[in-house]
This record gives sequence, C-alpha cells and structure tokens, in this order.
Amino acid sequence: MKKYIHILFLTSLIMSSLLGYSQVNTWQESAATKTFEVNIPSTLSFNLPTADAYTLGFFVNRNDTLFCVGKADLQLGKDQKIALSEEKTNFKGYKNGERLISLLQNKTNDEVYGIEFTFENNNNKFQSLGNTKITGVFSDTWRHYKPNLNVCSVYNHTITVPYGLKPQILVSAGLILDTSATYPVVMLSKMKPGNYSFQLYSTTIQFPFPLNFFTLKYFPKVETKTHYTICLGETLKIVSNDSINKIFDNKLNYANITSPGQYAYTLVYKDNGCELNDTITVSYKSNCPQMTSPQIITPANGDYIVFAKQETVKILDSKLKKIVEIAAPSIWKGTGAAGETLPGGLYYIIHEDDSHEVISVYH
Amino acid sequence: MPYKSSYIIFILLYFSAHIQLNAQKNSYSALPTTDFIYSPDLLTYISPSAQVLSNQYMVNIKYASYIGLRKVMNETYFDAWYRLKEKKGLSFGLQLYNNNQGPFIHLNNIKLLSRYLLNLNYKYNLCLGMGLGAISYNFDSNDKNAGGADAAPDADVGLSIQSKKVNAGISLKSLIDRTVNPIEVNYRKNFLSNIYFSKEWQNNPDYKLRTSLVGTYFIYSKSVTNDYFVEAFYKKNLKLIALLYHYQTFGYGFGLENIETPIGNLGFNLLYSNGLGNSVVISSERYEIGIKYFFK
Repeated sequence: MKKYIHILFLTSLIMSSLLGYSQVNTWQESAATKTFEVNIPSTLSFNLPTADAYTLGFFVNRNDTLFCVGKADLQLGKDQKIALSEEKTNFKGYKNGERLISLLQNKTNDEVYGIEFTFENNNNKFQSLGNTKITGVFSDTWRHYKPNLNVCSVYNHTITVPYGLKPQILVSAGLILDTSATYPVVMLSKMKPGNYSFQLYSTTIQFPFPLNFFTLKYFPKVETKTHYTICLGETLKIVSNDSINKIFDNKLNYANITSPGQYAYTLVYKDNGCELNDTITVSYKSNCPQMTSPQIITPANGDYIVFAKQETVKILDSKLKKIVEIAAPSIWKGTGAAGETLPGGLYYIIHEDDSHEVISVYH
Repeated sequence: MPYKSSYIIFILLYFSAHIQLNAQKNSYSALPTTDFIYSPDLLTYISPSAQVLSNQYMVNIKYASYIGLRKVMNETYFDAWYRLKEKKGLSFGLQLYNNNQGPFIHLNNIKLLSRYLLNLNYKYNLCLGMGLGAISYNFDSNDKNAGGADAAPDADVGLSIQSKKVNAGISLKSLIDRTVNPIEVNYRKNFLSNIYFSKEWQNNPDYKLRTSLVGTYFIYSKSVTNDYFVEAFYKKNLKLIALLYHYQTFGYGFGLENIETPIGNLGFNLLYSNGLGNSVVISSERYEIGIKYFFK
C-alpha cells in the first residue's frame, strides 16, 4: 500500500510538472479593432502535416495563455490577408514591439500545431505595428528536431520549436539542454559521445515526432586554433592530435600555406573519421628574423633569400654599386632590377636599419 | 729619335686597345677588378715597365682590406725584380696577386715579368716591360654547390719613360682575350689601359713633393677611373703625408722610403681611405699596408 502511495505521489508530481509547461490557447478573436494586416502570398509553401483544411491564427501571450488577435481559414495557393487587432484598454491585442505567435488548427479534428514564419524586412519575427508580409516558414511542430545521425559537429544544436511555444523537453541521461535562449539548445560541445534522445511534449500543441534520437560521435577535446602566424618563407604546419588534410586557399585551390590569407581545411578525427570543415586566418608574425642568412646561394638550384621584415632592402655588388631595391617582405632569387640573373660573385645586402649581410652568389 | 720611337709605340698600344674593344661585342660578366689605390707603391701592377729599379734586387708586398661592411674582401700583392746588368738592360721579375671576394670567391694572378731599359740620353730612359702568366677565378665548393675554378692565360705590356724626377708611361693589361668559366658563367678579364704620370718637385733640399696621376680606361665598358696622389717627403725618407683620390674615395697616409739598412733600402707605407659607395651611403673604410725592399 505504501508503495502505491509513492507511485501516486510521483505520478502526480510528473503530471503537475507537465501541466506547468502547458500553454492554454484561445481561438476566440479579440474584439479590439483590427488595425493592420499580415499578407500571406499564394506562393508560400506550408507543407502541412495532413491534407485537412486548417485555420491560421496569430496569437499573443498573456500569462502563458495565448490570445488570438486575428485568424482566417487558410486558402492554399491564394493571396490572403489576415487582419490583426491592436491592444486596447480592456481588449487583448498586439502590442508594438511584441513578437507574434502563430498556430494552425486542423478544422477536422481541432488539433493545433505551431508554426513560425519569416516576415518581410524582419527576418523570422514580426515585431512592429503596420502591415507586413510573410516570406517563408522558419519552423513548425510537425518536423523532426533531431540533429543528423552520427553527429560530428562541434557546434551546438538548436531545437527550433516555433517561437512562443513552450513544450516540455524530456531529455535522456547526459544530454545537456540550455533553455535560457529564445530556442532550446542541445549543448553538443559539452557532451560525451554516445546515444541520446529528447522528447517534446505539450498538452495543447501537436508534435507528431516528439521523440528525437541521435548519436553523438565526437565531442571537441581542444578547440581548434583559428589564427596562425608565419614568417615569410615558412610553410605553416598545423599541429593537431587529429589529422588535417585538404587545405584550400580562398579560391579553393589546394594550398601549402606560405603567405597570409584565409584558408579552409578539413580536419579528420582519428577516433571516428568524422570530418570538420573550418577556416583559419594566417598573417605574418611581427617578430620574424630579418632574413635567413645563408652565406651562399645558388639561384639556379632554386635558392633564394627571405626578407621577412617590412622594409626596403638594397642589394649592392662588391663595388657597392646598387643593383636592385627590394620591397620586403619578399624573397630575392639573385636577380637584378630587370629580373635578370646576376653573375656569380660577392654581393651586399643592406637593410633599412643599416644592418647588412654578405652573400656569395653561385651558379 | 728615341722619342719618336716611344710615341710610335704609344700609338700602337692605343690602337691595339681599340682593336680589342671592337672585337668584343658579346655579353660577358666582368671579373672583379682591384680596389688597390694606384700609388707609386704599385708601379709594377700599373705597368710591367713602370718600376724604377735602383738596386739589383727588389721585393714589394702589399696587403689591403676594408673595415666594416667590406671586411670580407682583401687583396694581397707581391712583386720581385732581379736586374741582370747595372742600371740598364734586362730585368726579370715575378708578380703574384690575390683578390678574395669574401670567404668563398678568389681571383688569383701570376705573371713572369721581364723588362728592358734603354738609355735614351743622359736624362731619360725608355723601358719596355711585359708580363706573361695566368689568371684563375675560383668558387669554393660547399655543401650545396660543387663550386668551380677556371684559369686563362694573361699578359700585360707597358712602355715607360723614366728620369730622375719623372716616370710616365702606358700599359695594356689582360691583352690576351680569354674568358674564365668557373661556374657556368663567362667571366671576361678586364682588358684595360693605364696611363700614368709621376713627377717629383723639389725647391728645398729638405722637402720634396711627388704628384702622381693614373688614368685607367676600361676598354670593354668604355669607362674611366682616375687616381690622384700627392706625397710630401722630408729629408727624402720620411713621407709626411700622402693625399689620394681613388674612385669616389679620399684618403691619406704616411710612410718611409729608402731607409738604409745593412743589406738594402727599406720602404714602408700605410694608406687609409674612406669613400662612399656608388648609390648608398655606406662606410667603406679601407687600409693598405705596403713594404718595399731594394736589396744591395
């Protein structure tokens, strides 16, 4: 008997918890004067959950009760306008700056679904008085919310429940959910690899696919560095416990990174073969050595001297006659002002700070 | 008549130079040229006929290098003469020259010298000199490059008129037109002509002034450099000061000449110069040390 009392107590606790997440919605339109309209274009694709007829209503939230400020039977394939009431004394209505909540009601069985539109000039939220036009559907309650199976991303997953709806979300062990933002977020980056699920539940809104399973295969161990610096003449080597391949420059050409720029790369994780596409930026170091200092270069063998610092470098022959000036950072391949190969011999390199190097050019 | 002969030889030498010039139209890289200041210490280097041999044997050594940026460059020169007969006639000599263009590149020159001195009259001698030998240009091997070396024959001729106070003449250096190719690049010897004139001025028994001019005409590049030298002597031995100008370079020095020793006469010279590079202001301090010995 004592056992049943416990079960009864727990059941009532859960029920009260579930009810606490349940919003009441009333489809009785506000009596306030309708002062503006929402235009629904004929081209808008709803992908409704069933083939039944539906009523589209716009609502505002007052103490977890959704009040209808305008509604109309949905006429698919036709331009349609739904007039909305503005908040007045003693009348519920839309207030300037408020965000509209949208619901669809099945005319056959009265089941209610949530939907969130994108609005003209206002992304996915209508937030000001005045006529507006729907441009698309941002989210609805009859879709799957789960991330792709075998999640490899380091990014967190946002559950795009239509705005204003507050279903209870029951999560499996280890799943970390952040509900502080506009949309609930599954914090994949803080979770260990494994199998997870979350379930959406509401007493008033239909979620045809409430249970969402996914497998998290990767969780980030170390955040990948996004900014690298090199000295002129160096080739960037990205060090990672995981393997990196397919580095592309900003034109998607396969690249060895030897100069500043933005590069895309694919990181393949050893543990599971997951791939992460990301970008890095590369810039020159500010404290590079002034130049590499070989005593001899053979330009015909591809030798060159790297001038890493930003400066003007002068090349003089053994008689101190200026051969060429080089705007560094740059490389010098033993050539003259016209790009001609200089005869082998002794040359002097004079830096802007008056330091100098002696170089023997061979062939 | 001897004057006429010398004029003819002068003219022939000049024509020879121009014939060589017109024959050379291909593009070559030039071998390094000397940075030695053409002072009276280097008469044999200027021309194989220019040295006045007051004794039967003489040895002359000169070393030059830079301070600072160009300290990796240095030059060493040596010549020695042996005169067969007293004060005239035939003499033979040896000339060695080394030019280090940094630690890895070396230019070397060796020549056997001969000259013949002819008394024109009681005051003037005519001297015809010649040097025959070889020049080599070496690039040392290193861990990345095998380097290379090549040599070519070399010859100088010179004609001088000498008196007690005047020494003047002309020379052609690197007469034999051969190139060296140590590292797949053709380096051509610097075919050049030197004209020099040196005169001593003495109005006071204790003081003497010597002025020298050496004009060098680089025949392939058609360029000219001039060296000017003024030396003031006290009591014939002590060189109080030497002022010089050498290709954008001014300098000074001091020395000793004809210091009598038990076995001969010793001369010592030190020159210092500090010039500007062609286009960049860079310290180009240079010093030259020379020792000359005339054996009894």
